[in-house]
Amino acid sequence: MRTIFTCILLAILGCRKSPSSPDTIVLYAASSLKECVTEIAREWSRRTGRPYRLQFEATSTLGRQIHEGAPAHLFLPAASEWLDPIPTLDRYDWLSNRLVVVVSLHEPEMDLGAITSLALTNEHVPSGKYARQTLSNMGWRIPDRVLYGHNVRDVLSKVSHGGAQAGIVYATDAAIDPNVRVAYTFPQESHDRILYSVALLQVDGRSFFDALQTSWAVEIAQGHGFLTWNRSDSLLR
Amino acid sequence: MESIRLSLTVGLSATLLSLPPAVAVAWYLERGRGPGRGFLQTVVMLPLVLPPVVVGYLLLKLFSPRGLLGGVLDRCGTPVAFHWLGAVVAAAVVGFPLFVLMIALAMKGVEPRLEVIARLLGRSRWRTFWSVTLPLSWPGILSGAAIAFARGLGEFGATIILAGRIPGETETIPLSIYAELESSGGETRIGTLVLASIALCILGVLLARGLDRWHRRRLELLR
Repeated sequence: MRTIFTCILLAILGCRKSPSSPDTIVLYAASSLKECVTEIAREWSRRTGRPYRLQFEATSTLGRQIHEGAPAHLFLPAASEWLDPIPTLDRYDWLSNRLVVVVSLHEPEMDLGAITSLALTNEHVPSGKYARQTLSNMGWRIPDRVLYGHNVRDVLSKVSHGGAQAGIVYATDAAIDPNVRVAYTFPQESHDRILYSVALLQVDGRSFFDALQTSWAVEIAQGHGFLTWNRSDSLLR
Repeated sequence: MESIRLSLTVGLSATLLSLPPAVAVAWYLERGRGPGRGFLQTVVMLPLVLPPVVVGYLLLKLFSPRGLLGGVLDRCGTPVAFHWLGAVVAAAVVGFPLFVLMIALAMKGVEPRLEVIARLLGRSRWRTFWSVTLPLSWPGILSGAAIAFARGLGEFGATIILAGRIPGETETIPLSIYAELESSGGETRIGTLVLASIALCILGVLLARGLDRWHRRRLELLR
C-alpha cells in the first residue's frame, strides 16, 4: 500500500515539472499562420538551439486567453485591434494576405451570387470580420444558411468536407487544401487591410521577435504566399 | 431562444430514433441466445468510453457527402452531415449505450418464470416479448429514455464535428454557449442557456420518475 502511495506521489511530483524547459519560447499565432510560422520557428530553433512551443487558434480565442493570463512570449494576431487591450513591450506590422472564396473541387461551376450555404467564422474572428466587410461593401447577401467555423482553418475543412457550398478564407489557407479551389479573390479595397502584427509580450521572446523580421523569415513567409507589409502604407494609415 | 427549441427537438428526435434499436439490442444482450453477444456489447458501449470527438470524426467519415453512406443518403434527399439530422444522429449515438444499459437492467429484473410460463402456455417468443417482457420493463425503458435525452441534450463534441454550427439548424444549447463564449457581453445569454439546460434535464428526470411511479401503481392494482 505504502509503495503504491509513494509511486502516486512521485508521479504527481514528476508531473509538476512542466515538460518544456524554462527557456522555451511560447508563441501564440493566428491559425492561418500555421505552416509559415512552424517553418520559421524550426529554422530559428536550428540557428539558436532554443526550444519553442507554438499555439495556433483564432486570433479572438488567443487574444482572450492572453488577456486571461496565458503565458505567451509573442502574439501574432490576424487583426491588430486584438493587441489594444494587451500590454505589449514592442510590436510591428508584419504580413498581409488576400481574402478569397473557396469552393469544393467536387462542386461544379456555379454562380457565386446564387450560393445557398456559406462557411464563415463569426464576426469576432478577424477572417469573419474581413469577410463581413467585403460582403457588405460588394453588396453580396449572406445566405440564410451559414455554417460557422471556430477559426479560418475550420471553415476550410467545412468546405472541404462538403458542409457548405463555399467558404471565405485567406488565399494562403486555400493553397494548402488540395480539395478546394479559389472561385473568387476579393479586391483588397473591399475590406480593411489584412494585417498580421507581431507583439512582444515578455522580454525573453526578444530573439524570436527580431528573427521574424529578418530577410530569411520574410522569405519563408512569402514562400507560403503571404504578402509583405508595405511600411510606407502603414505610415499613411 | 432558438437554440433551446432546437435542443428539445433534437433531443426528442434522437431519443425516439434510438428507442426501437435500443430495445432490440438490450433484449438480445439480456435474453438472446445467438452468437456475438460479447462483441455486440463491446461495440454498443464504445460511444460511452470513446472521446465524443472521435465518435464525431468516425460519423463524419461515414456520413459526409463523400463518405461511405453519406453519398447515398444525399442522393436520397436526406443529408446527415452538416444538417439537422446530423445533430440528431450525434445525440442518438452518444446516448445509445446508456439507453441500452438501462433497458437491459430493467429486462434483467423481469421474472424469468413469467416468460417461461407464457412460453409453456404456447405463446411464441415474439408474443412473449410483447406481452410479458416489454410491458414489465417499461419503467426501465422510460428512465433510459430520460437519460438518453439528457445526454443528447448536452452533446457537443460529436455534434460540432458531424453537424457543425448552423444557427437555427444544428446550433443546440451547448454549441450556442460555446459561440457566446467568443462574443463579448455574452454572459447573460450564457446564463439563460445554462439555466435552460439544467431545467430541461431536471424536467426529463422528473417526468421519467413520475411515469415510473404511475406504472408501479398500475401494476399493484393489477395484482
